[in-house]
Amino acid sequence: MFLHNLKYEIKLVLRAKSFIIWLMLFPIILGTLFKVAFGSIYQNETFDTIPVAVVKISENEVFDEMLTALTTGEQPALKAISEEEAKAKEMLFDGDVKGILYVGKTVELSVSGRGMTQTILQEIVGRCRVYETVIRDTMATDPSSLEAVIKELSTEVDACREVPVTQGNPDVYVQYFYNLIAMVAICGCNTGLHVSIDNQANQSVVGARKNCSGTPKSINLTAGLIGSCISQGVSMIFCVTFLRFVLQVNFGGNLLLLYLCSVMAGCLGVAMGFFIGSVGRARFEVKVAIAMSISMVLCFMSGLMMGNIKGILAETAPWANRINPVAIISDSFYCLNIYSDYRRFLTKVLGMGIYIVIFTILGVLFARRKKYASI
Amino acid sequence: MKPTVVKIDNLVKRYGELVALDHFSLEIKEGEIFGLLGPNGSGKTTTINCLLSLLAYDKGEIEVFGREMTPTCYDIKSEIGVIMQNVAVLDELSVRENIDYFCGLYITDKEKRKACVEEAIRFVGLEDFVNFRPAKLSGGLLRRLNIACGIAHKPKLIILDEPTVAVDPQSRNRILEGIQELNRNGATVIYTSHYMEEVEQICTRIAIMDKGRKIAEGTKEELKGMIRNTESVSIEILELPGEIKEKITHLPHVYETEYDGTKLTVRCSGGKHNLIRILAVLQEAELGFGRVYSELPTLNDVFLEITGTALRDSKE
Amino acid sequence: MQVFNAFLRVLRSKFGSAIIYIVLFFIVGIMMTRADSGTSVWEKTKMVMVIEDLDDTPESRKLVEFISEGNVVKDDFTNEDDITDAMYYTMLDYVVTIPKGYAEKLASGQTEGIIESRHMHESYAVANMGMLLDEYVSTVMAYRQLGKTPLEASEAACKALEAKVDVTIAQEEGKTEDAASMMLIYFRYMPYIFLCVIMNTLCPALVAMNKKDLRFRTDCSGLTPQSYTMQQFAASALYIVALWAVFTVVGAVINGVMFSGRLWLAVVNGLVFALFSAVFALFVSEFSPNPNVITAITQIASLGMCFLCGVFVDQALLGGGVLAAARFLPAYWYVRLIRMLNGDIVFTAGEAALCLGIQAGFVAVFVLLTILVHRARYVSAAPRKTAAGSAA
Repeated sequence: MFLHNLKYEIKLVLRAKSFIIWLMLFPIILGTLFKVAFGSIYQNETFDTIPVAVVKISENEVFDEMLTALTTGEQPALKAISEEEAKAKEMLFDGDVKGILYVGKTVELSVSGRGMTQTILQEIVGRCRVYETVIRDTMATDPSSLEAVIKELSTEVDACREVPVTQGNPDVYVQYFYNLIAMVAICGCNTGLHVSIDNQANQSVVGARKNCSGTPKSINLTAGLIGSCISQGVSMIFCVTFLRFVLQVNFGGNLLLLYLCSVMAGCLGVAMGFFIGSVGRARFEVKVAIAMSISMVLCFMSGLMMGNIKGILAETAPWANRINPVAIISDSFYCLNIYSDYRRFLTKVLGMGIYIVIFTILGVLFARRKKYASI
Repeated sequence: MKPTVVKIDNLVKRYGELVALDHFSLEIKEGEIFGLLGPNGSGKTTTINCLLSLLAYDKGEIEVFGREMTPTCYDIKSEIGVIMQNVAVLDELSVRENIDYFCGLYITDKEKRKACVEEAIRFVGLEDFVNFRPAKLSGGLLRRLNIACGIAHKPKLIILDEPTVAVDPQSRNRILEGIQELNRNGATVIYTSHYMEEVEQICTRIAIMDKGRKIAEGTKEELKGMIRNTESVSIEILELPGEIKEKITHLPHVYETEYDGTKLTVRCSGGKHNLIRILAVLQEAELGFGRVYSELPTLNDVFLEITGTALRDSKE
Repeated sequence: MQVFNAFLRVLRSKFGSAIIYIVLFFIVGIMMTRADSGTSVWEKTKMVMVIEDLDDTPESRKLVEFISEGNVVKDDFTNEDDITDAMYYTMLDYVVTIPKGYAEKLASGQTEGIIESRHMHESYAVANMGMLLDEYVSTVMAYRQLGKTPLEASEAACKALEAKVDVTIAQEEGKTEDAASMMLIYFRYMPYIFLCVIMNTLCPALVAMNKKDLRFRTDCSGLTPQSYTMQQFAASALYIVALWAVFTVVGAVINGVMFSGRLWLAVVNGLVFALFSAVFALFVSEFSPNPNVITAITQIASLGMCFLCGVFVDQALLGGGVLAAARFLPAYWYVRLIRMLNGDIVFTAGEAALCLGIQAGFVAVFVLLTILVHRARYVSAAPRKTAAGSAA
């Protein structure tokens, strides 16, 4: 009886259109889009030669020398074009140059926006300033050691040693993929919703028919839930496999645990849907809308749309991250990636487990009713 | 004396202010095809849902196969087959899978179930559509699938809740014949409908419901015997003087005449040769007439006479 | 006007679920605005950092002073895990540790690895901080050549490194108004909000109107398909304009901004995008998707477009290839105009008009596509007489 039910539950879920769309197409399309959008984020950091216009107000030998150093060599930092101020401004607005250097006693910089190139320009000019100051100080106090000072200044110093924070992948954009997996998992509530709808006589005709049958409701519900969890688990494995091996997203951490964790997350989605479906008598469409709205808000709060929202919540309302099931899911992936010991990861997994148990128990409490006031 | 299969005693069901079932009682014996006849909203489906323990009711007792019916009486439920008013099948499964799925809720043995499923498919004539999804089936075929899902496990008690709504005459006949065959094979059948012709055609005993109450019960002959009308004679006639109509009214056994300018309807209660006597009066007055026909009373006449409204008109 | 009226009535019947979405996404919009601090990512901003001084000598304290200058130093972390979490969620950028023996090494001229740093995410600010620390040590060493003590040299280096560069943001003549940046951030997230709200509310109503049986009935009437579609467009437009007005006005009230000057352009920008969302919803509805599919398409379209076009992630961060592809999406042009208004890129009237024009072009394209699909799906489905006179 149970196995028969289970077989058909799995068949039903795998054949449902919403399953294909939400749990298969959704991660493929969004995952690919994420990959495309984030995959090239660091490409922008390659330092290309920046064109600048130089407007001379008065002579500044030290700067001239440095400018020569910056504009020559194999991959020069700057490409300087000497111009009149008016022409320089025109070039700036047309985008031909990224900034204007006004060279007088001191050097001033004018840029047209607040992008990265502008910041780099600012840093380059800043370095020149320091150089200039040290050389001026040397000339003023002990001109004889100028050579030694310049040598010291131009010696490559590696004073700051970087200590790696994690063995995992520190790329912040991975968390968008964590959230994508969490979203796919929580979309399992669609599947869970069907379990309760299909087993309640006052929610669907199929539910009424099942209630008249010789199979106890407990068996129907258990088979439904386990079947949904299996189907959801398959889609989670598919999703992680696609992200990891097709899109080559580096999740860091133990891949096997990642798979297990995502399957568990899928079960959490199913349990949540089952709970929502069991409570109240709203129409099926309304319940879908409720489930989807709740899921989207939880995903938003977990940082699906904006990565830093979780950090802000951690500061302003730390409880929000602790109780948000989607945040718990994505945090568990994070812990797996970042921390070398599993203490935190296990806490998150435990949190998921608690949610699964609570949602299932509440769902069963609401759905176990045998007789209905009206159908 | 055959054993009682279903016994409903003093059932009361309220939806807020509305009394859906008002002290409704019923007893159905083994081997019957029992018809629950009544207009829409008379409480037929509510009765069925209470009987199946789906609906909570306010008062009364329900026994099935001699035992009190509760939601957890799975052994009793295993012997019941239900064909809902709405088609209750799963869109994602094919015809065969649907029947197998629902049959599997009753029969665990795989081989036995397979045989049952094949038999059910043959029984409803869906052999050519076994791999179709429900969305691809026509209305009539869908109804047949609905029936197959309900009867595949060979239940002893079959409950059909208006199974022929929106079905073409061909499919309807097939369904009705099928029900009779199931009955011949030993199943007790409860059949609800607001089509009196269907009920008249297949049911061995009938209860007429209105406004949640049972207003009459018996075989169709018994029911018809409850009313005065035994024969209605209709004569197409274009001219009928008042005194002739009066004369006909005073013929023996005639208790009512009605003339609408083209057709004379004479209702008789008992007696023989009523038609001959009426025609003799017309011939004597040298009045020409067209088509003449005589009808025996229908369940509609029964309903009409008991409630004062025609079955088809009320609450439709 | 029958279709127009009926459509508005259907929309009203869906108002209940619409209001859930509207309120929900309104909150999301406000949260996004608050979450975004209002500065672009690459702007030279203060770094949030933790400094652990294990050496605790005058020289190391000087270094702490130097690093602290212009950055936010936090000292309220109690354990390493909190620091790691904060770094991961970008609430903390950098951790500097000055190991024991820093001063001694400085005195002996040993520079290699005398400072330790930790960070989670690569960014320009982080890379710059690393270089700055190297530069500090290098400058101290240079000053040591002048015979200064390590402490004196540290002081001199601090002074030299303090020298700031004056940066001015050049603006074209007469275009120097300060845009209310808070409102602009609010506007930046509008594409996501509009797509979600409009698709989730308009599509179900449109699908209800386009139901097969209903369509057949309408097709049997004297109404031309063109008139039907145009009336639907008109009713949708009315709804969209109302929705846009609500989001704009309430947004202005909450952010405490009065529209003036160029901010009006952002308002118009919003309207054009809202119209695009509506037309897109119309287009999708032509395929009569079920509620589940509508939600899925909405999520894919809104999240996908917003990530690719720089709604959620700054356009400056996105790679050239992505941006090149994003040009074929209206949100790109929407965000571009907002960035112009915010001063992230140069504002020119022509460029602004181009941004609005291209979005309007997308609206036109989708209107045409909708009409085409409509014809293909509904009109051509009817039997048509061929030249020979037989039914096709």
